[in-house]
Amino acid sequence: MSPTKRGALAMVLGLAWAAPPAVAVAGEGAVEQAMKDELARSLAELQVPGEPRPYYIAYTFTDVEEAEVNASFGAVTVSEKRRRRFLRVDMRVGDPKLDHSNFSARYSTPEYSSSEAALDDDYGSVRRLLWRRTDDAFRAALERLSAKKGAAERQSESADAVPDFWVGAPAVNLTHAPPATGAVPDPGPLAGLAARLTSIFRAHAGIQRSTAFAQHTVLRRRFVSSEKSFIDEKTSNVRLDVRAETQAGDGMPLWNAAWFRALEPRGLLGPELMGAEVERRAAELEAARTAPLATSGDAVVLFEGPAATDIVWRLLADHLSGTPPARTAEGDERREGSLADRLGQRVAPSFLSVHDDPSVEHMPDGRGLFGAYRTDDEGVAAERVKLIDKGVLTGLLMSRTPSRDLGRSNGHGRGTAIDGSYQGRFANLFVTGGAAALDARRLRQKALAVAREMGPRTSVYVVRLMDDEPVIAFHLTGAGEKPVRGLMIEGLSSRRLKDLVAVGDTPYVSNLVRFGQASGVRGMPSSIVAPPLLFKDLEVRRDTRKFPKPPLYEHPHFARPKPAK
Amino acid sequence: MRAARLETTGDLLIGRRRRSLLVALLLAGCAAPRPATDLAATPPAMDGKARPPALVRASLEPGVAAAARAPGLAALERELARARATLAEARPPAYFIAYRVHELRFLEMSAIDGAIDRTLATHRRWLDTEVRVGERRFDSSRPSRSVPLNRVELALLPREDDAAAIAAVAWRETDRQYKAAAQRLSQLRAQQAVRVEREDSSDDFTAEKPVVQLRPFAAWQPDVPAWQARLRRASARFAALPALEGEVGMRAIADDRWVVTSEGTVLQLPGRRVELMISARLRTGDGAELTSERRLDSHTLEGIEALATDDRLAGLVDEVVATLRALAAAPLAEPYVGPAIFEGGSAAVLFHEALGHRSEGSRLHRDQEDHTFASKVGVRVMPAFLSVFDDPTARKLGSLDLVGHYLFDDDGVPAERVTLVEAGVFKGFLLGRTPVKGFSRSNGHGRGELGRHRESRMANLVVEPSAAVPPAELRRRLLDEVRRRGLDHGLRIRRLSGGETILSRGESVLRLELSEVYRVFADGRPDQLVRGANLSGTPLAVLGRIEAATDRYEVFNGGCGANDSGWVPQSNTSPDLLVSEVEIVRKPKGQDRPPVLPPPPPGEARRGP
Repeated sequence: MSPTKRGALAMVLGLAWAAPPAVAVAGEGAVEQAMKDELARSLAELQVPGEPRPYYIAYTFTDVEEAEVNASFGAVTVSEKRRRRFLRVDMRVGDPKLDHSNFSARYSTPEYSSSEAALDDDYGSVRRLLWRRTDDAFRAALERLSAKKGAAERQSESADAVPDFWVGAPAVNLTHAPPATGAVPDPGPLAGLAARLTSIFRAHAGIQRSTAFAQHTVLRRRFVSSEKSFIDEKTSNVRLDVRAETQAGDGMPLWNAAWFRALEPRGLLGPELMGAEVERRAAELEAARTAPLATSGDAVVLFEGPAATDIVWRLLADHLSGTPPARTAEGDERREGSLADRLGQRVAPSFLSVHDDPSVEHMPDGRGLFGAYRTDDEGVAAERVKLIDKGVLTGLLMSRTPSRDLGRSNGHGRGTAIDGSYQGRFANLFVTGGAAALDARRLRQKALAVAREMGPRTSVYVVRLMDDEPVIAFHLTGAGEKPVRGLMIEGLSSRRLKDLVAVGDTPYVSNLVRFGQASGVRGMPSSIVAPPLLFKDLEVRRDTRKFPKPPLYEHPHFARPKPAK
Repeated sequence: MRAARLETTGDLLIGRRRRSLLVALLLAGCAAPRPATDLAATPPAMDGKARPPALVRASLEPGVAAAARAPGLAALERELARARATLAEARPPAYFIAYRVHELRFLEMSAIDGAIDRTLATHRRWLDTEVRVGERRFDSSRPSRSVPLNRVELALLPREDDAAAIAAVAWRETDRQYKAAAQRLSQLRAQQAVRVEREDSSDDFTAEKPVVQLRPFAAWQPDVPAWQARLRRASARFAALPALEGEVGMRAIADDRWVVTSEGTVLQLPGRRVELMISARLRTGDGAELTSERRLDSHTLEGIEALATDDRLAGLVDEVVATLRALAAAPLAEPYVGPAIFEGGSAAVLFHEALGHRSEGSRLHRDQEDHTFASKVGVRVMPAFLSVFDDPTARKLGSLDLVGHYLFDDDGVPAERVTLVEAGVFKGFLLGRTPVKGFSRSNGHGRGELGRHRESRMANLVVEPSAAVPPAELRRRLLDEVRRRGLDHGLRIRRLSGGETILSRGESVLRLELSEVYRVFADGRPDQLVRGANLSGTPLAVLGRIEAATDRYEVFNGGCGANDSGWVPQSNTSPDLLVSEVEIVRKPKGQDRPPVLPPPPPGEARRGP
């Protein structure tokens, strides 16, 4: 949108909002109208004598339409459809230089993030809900601001004090519904698919338990702010996860999974291809049951497929936020593992580059990316951000809470606010090795060569699936790869990026929905695209924990008939 | 130990605003709404002999053709036989295995300000697997202060009767539960050597006769759009007082059960329950949060549809609004010691807290509890004109459905009417399958929330006087006592929102969260509503001070929460009672003020863009 158009739109909206809310709207426009009317009233009138007022208010309604399915050993256990609506009220009280945000007040009223809202598009009930929740947010903000000012008076003033809020965000007027969001969530077909894929395990006697989970979610986010933004943006995603569990002869729990992801159900692989993938994972898991245990010591480890994107998530993705840590009465909080203080420094080998781009909806081969959006949860237009360029940290993911180094948002304020501030979070994170990337064969040759350099008896492992520890792993020798189990890796942190010695040339796309603190009402859809990653000098050890005994009697489906007495 | 709570709103309250209400209610302990009109119209007793409550009982005999065995049930029986054959020979042996299946179809809806706030429908079939290892005398489930009970783990079963998939889940759960039970038994044996003997040396598990009964599962089709329309219409009436947050919600639960045990019990039992809640809260300028609720219950969808007519719901919403208006204008209660009339529902909750929880037999195995009645069997504990019993087979009182009704408890044991107190004398305990000294059989009171342990719990508690006075006479006696004590007024406790009791050794206390309390003046002034009153007392003392009763019975239908067994639906019935002395304390004061801005102006509807 051009600045001229944006200005004209803001003026029109401004006029519309200034008009007294004499009449209510029924039907589709009711929610939007109620948001605008109550926002205008709150901004103009919300005040406690002698106390600061809100200088910014934003309302977000998120409509969730969802189908959810579970299946177990070929039969459906859950098949449900639901609709829900959530309201989030964001408010800044004080002024942009010093407001109530980014302060962790241990004893203040918890600032609520999202609450469930009426599903009916009823003007009156939406307005009354907004009135009540705005009041709640205002009280919580006043309390937090008072605590923050009290703490500031007791602390020496920081020389590099930065504002609390970036006020330069242009107003956005956007309605966006990608084609995939037109598919209505329907549990029926997903249930059939989940049952079919788990029925594959009826032919795998070595596997104790098989389950599938499928979810199709369409989200509609309506955002109105006092800066005259109005956004109506839809996103969608489908997940179908098949998981199998078993135990080795010594009782060690083992599992494997096949994950299928798309933006809509018809984007999933065909049933035959999915079935073949599940068969491969079943065979891999059965082979792991009798695999030898890993050897402790220093090792070379190649992470590929989902394990590569998992490593990127653990070592990098969550440490790229530029949002400063919340202040507390005791000072600033430290953020464990954050790379924010290393802007401009080398953080990885020179062949590695990383960027985040929420505007990419599909990979070149057509696969959809979960982390795609036009505007972030603060209503700021998404931007491509170069994070690591040839090993040097060049950028960070920013929300509207500025830092000493970066004063503006780049459209990565996601989820819900923590301590009054949105955090910069990754959306579609791309890791590339540029011209240095190796194909699979050369990567393995390189791994063996690095191991030889490290010294005798240095093992090389290939990890295909990670949880807290490797789940599916192989021992690589000159003779090939053999399954191994009980492999554990010590000390994985962002500092280990310096031990990255090579990357592959085939990126794996991991679409995930992240849950946890401030991840939004239905999690935070995100994507990581990463090639295989080869690390040297990792300390590995054999899992020596005690395990539950294997089952005392046979799985009923595979039980042999008792011989007649 | 906070052992027992009674409330009526449960987890109907979801979402931030409602969650905070729930917390308030949970802290308060209970909620108390009940239909006020069902029984109040009963003509008062005119002579000294009380009429018994008009209970309608259901027969344990099926009375209908036995249903065919569903393939899923048959698959569970086969898998149980296979498990038993193996695990009975294991070391240590499993001597009891049970599969309890709950096919739970759950519908929850609520409306606020005339709009549907939430519609949640789920359909799950849960398997609860119990494996007892050791022997009846000493098994893996014995309560112990130093070895916590194993968690009850539920597993999802296929919704369809896929025998292979059902058996696979049952097999895995049985193996898991056996291992957990064997490990706990080993820990119990180890600590037995270093701990003192239990006070009650009864077995750990009763022996019961197996029962086979297959009742057909009826259809279950709630009309969601019709209910949504009904809730919208009713909740829109709260707009009459916009500062108030009002909600109309319904919860319909079909809980169809299978129980299969290694003792030979095979049960197929339909279960149905529908609740309708009308609740509102209002914040006053002095920081108090006032709440008022009403509730309708039925065993069937048809029943609730007949009860919850538009007129009835409108009347209940208006009652709630009027109550909150009156409470907002009412003076604050003062600390008080003196006589009080408990109207029926309130009296019923008094008995629930003071007597009911102390009659739950499994508590005698908890060393940390006070065991109030352990040595009171055959001893007078309250006035001779009062008897108390618990009867899960009672389906109704008059036309009112009792939510504690069932025919087989959660252990699968047939329900029995149990006399707790007869003519003032304590007779015995409510029992599940944990025996206590002198009582070696279950009387069908083993209950527990899905996913929690089963303990002995109340179902339908009924207080029955042998002698009664008319309500006017009860009031006259109250005023006589007021004058005798030289007081200005006595109290009439019309409603309460719940109660709780503490059963710890060294602290035996009950608290009632009162919601509508009136001062009854000695000089004949009209009764005056007060707000902010709670009752605090010691159970045996309160029971001993009951002076008289009417035979105007009222029911408090609610949910009761306790220790390891969680929340169960439960009803309490009592006539009005006069207690010669109670202690009233003030409620804790809130801090929040009403909203800064007035409610938004109502808009006239026009067509959308």
